[in-house]
Amino acid sequence: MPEIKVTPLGAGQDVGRSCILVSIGGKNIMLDCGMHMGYNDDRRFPDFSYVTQNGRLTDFLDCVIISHFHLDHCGALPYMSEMVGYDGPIYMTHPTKAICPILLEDFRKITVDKKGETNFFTSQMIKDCMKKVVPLNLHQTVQVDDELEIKAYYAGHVLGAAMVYIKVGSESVVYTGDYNMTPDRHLGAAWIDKCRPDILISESTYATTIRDSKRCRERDFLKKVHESIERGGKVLIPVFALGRAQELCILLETFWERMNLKAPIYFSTGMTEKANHYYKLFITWTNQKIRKTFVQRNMFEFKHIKAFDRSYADNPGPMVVFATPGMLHAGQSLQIFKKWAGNEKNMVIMPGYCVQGTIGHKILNGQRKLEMEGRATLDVKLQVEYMSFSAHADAKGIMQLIRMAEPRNMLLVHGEAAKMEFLKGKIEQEFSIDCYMPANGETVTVKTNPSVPVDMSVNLLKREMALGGPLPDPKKPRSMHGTLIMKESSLKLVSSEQALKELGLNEHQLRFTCRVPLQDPHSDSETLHRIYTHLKSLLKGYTIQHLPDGTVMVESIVIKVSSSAEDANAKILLLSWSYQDEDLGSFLSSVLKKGLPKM
Amino acid sequence: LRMDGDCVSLLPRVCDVLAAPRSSLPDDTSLEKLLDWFTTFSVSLLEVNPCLQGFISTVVSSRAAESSIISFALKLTGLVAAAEDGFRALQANSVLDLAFNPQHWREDGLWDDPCVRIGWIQGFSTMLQHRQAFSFFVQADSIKPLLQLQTDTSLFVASAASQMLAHVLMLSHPLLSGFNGKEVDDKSSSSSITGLMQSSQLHQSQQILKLLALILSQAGPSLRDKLLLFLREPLEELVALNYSQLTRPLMDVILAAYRYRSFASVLPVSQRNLVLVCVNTKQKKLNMIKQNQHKLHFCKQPLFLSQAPDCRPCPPAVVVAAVLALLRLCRGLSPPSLNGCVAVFRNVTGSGKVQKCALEALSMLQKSYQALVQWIGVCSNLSSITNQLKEGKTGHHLFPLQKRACDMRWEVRDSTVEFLGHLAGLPACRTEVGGACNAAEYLLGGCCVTTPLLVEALHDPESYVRASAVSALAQTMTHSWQEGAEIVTQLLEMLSQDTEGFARRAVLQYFITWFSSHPSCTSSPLLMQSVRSVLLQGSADLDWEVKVHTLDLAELLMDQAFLGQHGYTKGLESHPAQPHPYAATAKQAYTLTQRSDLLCALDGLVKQGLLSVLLSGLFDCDRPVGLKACRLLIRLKHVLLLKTQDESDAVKTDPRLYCELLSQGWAQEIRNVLGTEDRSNETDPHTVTVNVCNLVTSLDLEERLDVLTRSSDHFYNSPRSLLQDILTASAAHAQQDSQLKEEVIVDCY
Repeated sequence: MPEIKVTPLGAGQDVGRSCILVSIGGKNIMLDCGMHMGYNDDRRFPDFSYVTQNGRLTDFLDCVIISHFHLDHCGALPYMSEMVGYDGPIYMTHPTKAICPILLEDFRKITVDKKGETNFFTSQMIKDCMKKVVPLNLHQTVQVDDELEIKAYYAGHVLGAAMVYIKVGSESVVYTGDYNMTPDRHLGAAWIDKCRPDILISESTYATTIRDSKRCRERDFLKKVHESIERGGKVLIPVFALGRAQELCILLETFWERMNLKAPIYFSTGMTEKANHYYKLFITWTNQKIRKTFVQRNMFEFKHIKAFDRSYADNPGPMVVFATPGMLHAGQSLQIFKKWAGNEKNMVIMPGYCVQGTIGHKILNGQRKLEMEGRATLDVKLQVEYMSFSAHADAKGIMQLIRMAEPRNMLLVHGEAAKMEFLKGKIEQEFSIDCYMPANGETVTVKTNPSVPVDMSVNLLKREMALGGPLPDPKKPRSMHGTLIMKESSLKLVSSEQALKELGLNEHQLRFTCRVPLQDPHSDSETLHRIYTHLKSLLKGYTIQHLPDGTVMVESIVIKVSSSAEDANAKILLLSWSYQDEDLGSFLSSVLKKGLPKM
Repeated sequence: LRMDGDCVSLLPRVCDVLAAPRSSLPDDTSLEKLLDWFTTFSVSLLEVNPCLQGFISTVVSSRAAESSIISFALKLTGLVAAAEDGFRALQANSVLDLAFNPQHWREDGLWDDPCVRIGWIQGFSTMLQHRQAFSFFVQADSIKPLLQLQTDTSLFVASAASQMLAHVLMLSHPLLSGFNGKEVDDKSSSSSITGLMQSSQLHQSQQILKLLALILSQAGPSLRDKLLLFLREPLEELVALNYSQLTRPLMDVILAAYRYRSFASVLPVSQRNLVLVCVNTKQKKLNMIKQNQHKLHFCKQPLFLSQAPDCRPCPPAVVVAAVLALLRLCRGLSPPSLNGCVAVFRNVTGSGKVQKCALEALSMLQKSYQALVQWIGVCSNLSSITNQLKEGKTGHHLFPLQKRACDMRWEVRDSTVEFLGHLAGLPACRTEVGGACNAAEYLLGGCCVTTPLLVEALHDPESYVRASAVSALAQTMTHSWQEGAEIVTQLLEMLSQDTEGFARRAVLQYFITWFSSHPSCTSSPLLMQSVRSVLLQGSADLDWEVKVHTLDLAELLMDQAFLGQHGYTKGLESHPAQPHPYAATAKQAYTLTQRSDLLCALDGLVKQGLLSVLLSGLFDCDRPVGLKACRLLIRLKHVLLLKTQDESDAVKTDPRLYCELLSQGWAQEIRNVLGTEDRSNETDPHTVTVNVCNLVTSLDLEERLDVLTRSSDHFYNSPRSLLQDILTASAAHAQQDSQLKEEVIVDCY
């Protein structure tokens, strides 16, 4: 029995990093190749030695597919391709290919800033890795090789994020990456064909949450920023170079415009221009509204948001600053934080998760005294806010996607075990399909029921056509009778006559017989006649004959009547038919079992 | 290493938090980091902190502990018991019997969780450091569960289990372990492995070969030699069988053994046979692309290149042939001959698969370029390459550079430009007639072809290509810098205009290469003119690497100005070398000791903008920039102070020792540090003039250096910080609104 195997090396019952191996129809595919931000050594990367034990990755993997540019989905790619050694194709969408190196460079900078970072890739490696990337267009089927094909679908979440449909023969898998089923300020909602994959591998970050509308969170965010500005405070928003930052910029820009606010908004180190460039380049990947507005003015050319210079941090009066990096690891965001932390009028808004070992992590946990150089401590008096803007599908969204794609099996990744368990129950109950949630390193094997392609003889087709009925349509399956010949690993459906001829065999007739008891207080010939009239009225358009030899014939089916010796009213009907009329024969026997109509 | 006082007091509280039933950790990496920390102690862990013993026994006997905590406790048990006193202490409480008894974990269904099984394996492996631990392993009959785990459903568990099995097999070898034969299984590992090797089943052979490779890579010389002696015959038999599935594991065994010198004397013949078998069998395959990539992979191994030619696994000519064949293939040409594979090549070239898979060809192109450059680098005579070129009668057409340089794909353009740079950077090679020549000229026809191509590439729409073009130009121009006036103009424009960091970094590198290749830059007015604007623009750049490179250039400038000055040291040491009291001082070191020379040099540097570069770098928010600037300032300080401390006031007030500071940005920060006691400028109230000597002494550079040398997160990634984080998180967990808490955890990047 053919099967599909799925083994997460990462994202199995966790949200640390995504890296999932899929074996389908003899092909091995790696879905995402993410980095764990919480480690400073090799543990941040998936352990690729598990993929092949000792062999080379290139020999084993047919391709790698990256769903989007977040580092927990693509961060290990240069390590894998340039340090471990993988020369095969890597697929990602055009925007992801363009933006990926920026984020990788951004993170490389953080690692250089921290000492003790070992075995990290260089700029050259990032470039060499990117050279191996084949860009994908949405809804375009890409033939990886003769048998394996992939197709990307829009996933929302971040610019360029895609879900992928992977098909080998008649077996298929869909991997969602991270996705979002509701449009936001700059991106649309995920969408997929009713492709009925054997397995739908879905993220489940918000498996148990029905998220409040994003509007509420946005209002909350604006209110907090506004209040802080009004009381003369400074607001720091640590962000990563690209992604959420742009969304928040649009939000603030519109708000400033509407409220006619004057406090400056700054964005650190040249990122606005770069982001601008990419959003402009990939405008088709944004949502309807941005595309429309773009004709009048570029949504990403901000009137109120200016480039930041490090001396501005000391300027008096309120201001909002977007600064990298996002977890207050090091660099500019940390420098500004240290300057502003002592004033309770100020505020820091963390728009994302922070790993242990960063100041972001500490202040989100409520630490108010931070150790500094020279035995000094920093009193954190400023207001600390956490606001989640991450665009993942919630429980409702995940169910919606299942309805869209109609998978035969479901597999959850990128979430926490307890929440997955809950969602799994819901899915199994509502859709009556199996739902899996493997831990990292564990393999799920799903048996598939693939259709086998068969050549059909022209004669058989002609005969089918001659019988009338609709023209053949690939979308409307129908059954056909014939003889299946297997020859040198190819399959062929032919008419039985042709099969006999080809195989040099003699024909044998096979007839089915069946006895139906019937209570009928009439003579045998009268009963037979009553059967004849009954069937005549019942089966319009069939050839029904009452033959002089005491039989009724419906097509090839012969019906005879005999009565028992003890009871003349207890008749036995004998039916006999050839295999071609099997359906009709069974039908007649069931009709006659019900008895004859009263006179 | 010992634990510091704060940690000693925090650890028991952390243990309590972790041992508390249903305790939840904020970050899944915290436990791993704790274990990392524990492994750093050189003394017994129980000595470090006795609370660990209590923690282990609580968790091991608890019925409510989370599986991740159990896994952690098992690994910790292994660490503690790896020391003999720890082992005895834990065994006295029967903790070990409980912890390493799989049945104990099965009773509560916890064994089903792979992380508990991983904990068991890793803890047990760590513990197996001494004889008592090994006896414990034997007596508890732990080999049974270990063998079961070899085929575990979890990849991670199965792999860890096979590592442990290798470890156990090595321990059971009396030669290696030094353990007494009584405790050890009767069969020594080598004979048992030899026995296993003779098993004829393919699948088993694969498993055994994997295990063997693992053991060979870990074993000491005596066991390794013994094993190889025993295994020579079965290994050669396996090679002779020529099973394609065994090629890979056999290669791994050879590579594992090949790391050591002894192997060469034990198995040279069969090893070479094997490699040739591998290469030849693959040649028979239709898939020539992959086969040749294997060869490239092989020839790129440093191991291979460092060997004497006659020890190399295949003759150089074969490799060169493979590389050139690939280049021909990329060009769409059929190679003239390669062991009768013409037909195969024709098929491959003609197959739609090859043509469709442009990427694979690209990857080959790049690799072929790289391999060729490497070969020319180590090759004693270019004729081996040119002979092959002649054979193909394609000569220079093998490199259709113009075509490649304007390919649709930036990837191809970039690889080509990179290749040109690498080729130009190669030292002169010998030709068949014995003369020396430049490889680029020899293969491509020299600069007249390459430079215009590279200049063109400076305007490439893709920043990667622009950057490669700049780097390649730097290699190409080595002997003709002066002719590059137009290039310099373009580069300076790039530095100020290019939106991407890569290109700007490459521009800086260009000037660094130029500067370093010139013994005295005053001899090149073009260079001197450019340096000032490069420094000015480079230090104001937004990219941290451009800034670091700018400081590299500043360093060269300083070296040139001060080298020979007393107190000045070249190189990257953070502190200037104090001359050893008895050290002989080179005469030349004092050639420039005149005060006026020093002031002249300083004046020149200030005019070039060097001081602004260093000072703005010092206050940069990116640590590498600050660090580099700080080191350079310290060097400057030493040369200035040594020179001026004994001098008269007249020298100290020499106008050449003064510089101006504006009131913005970094200059403002410096003014804050200094207080503005220095002279205000009469003409411009926003500018302050400061004495450079005062400036470098008041900046507290040594203390700053101390801070900058450490990681930017050294506080927040320290063990103490980790312990505090665990405690705060558990407190926060207890208090906070659980809904909010949940969001913080799950929302990922």
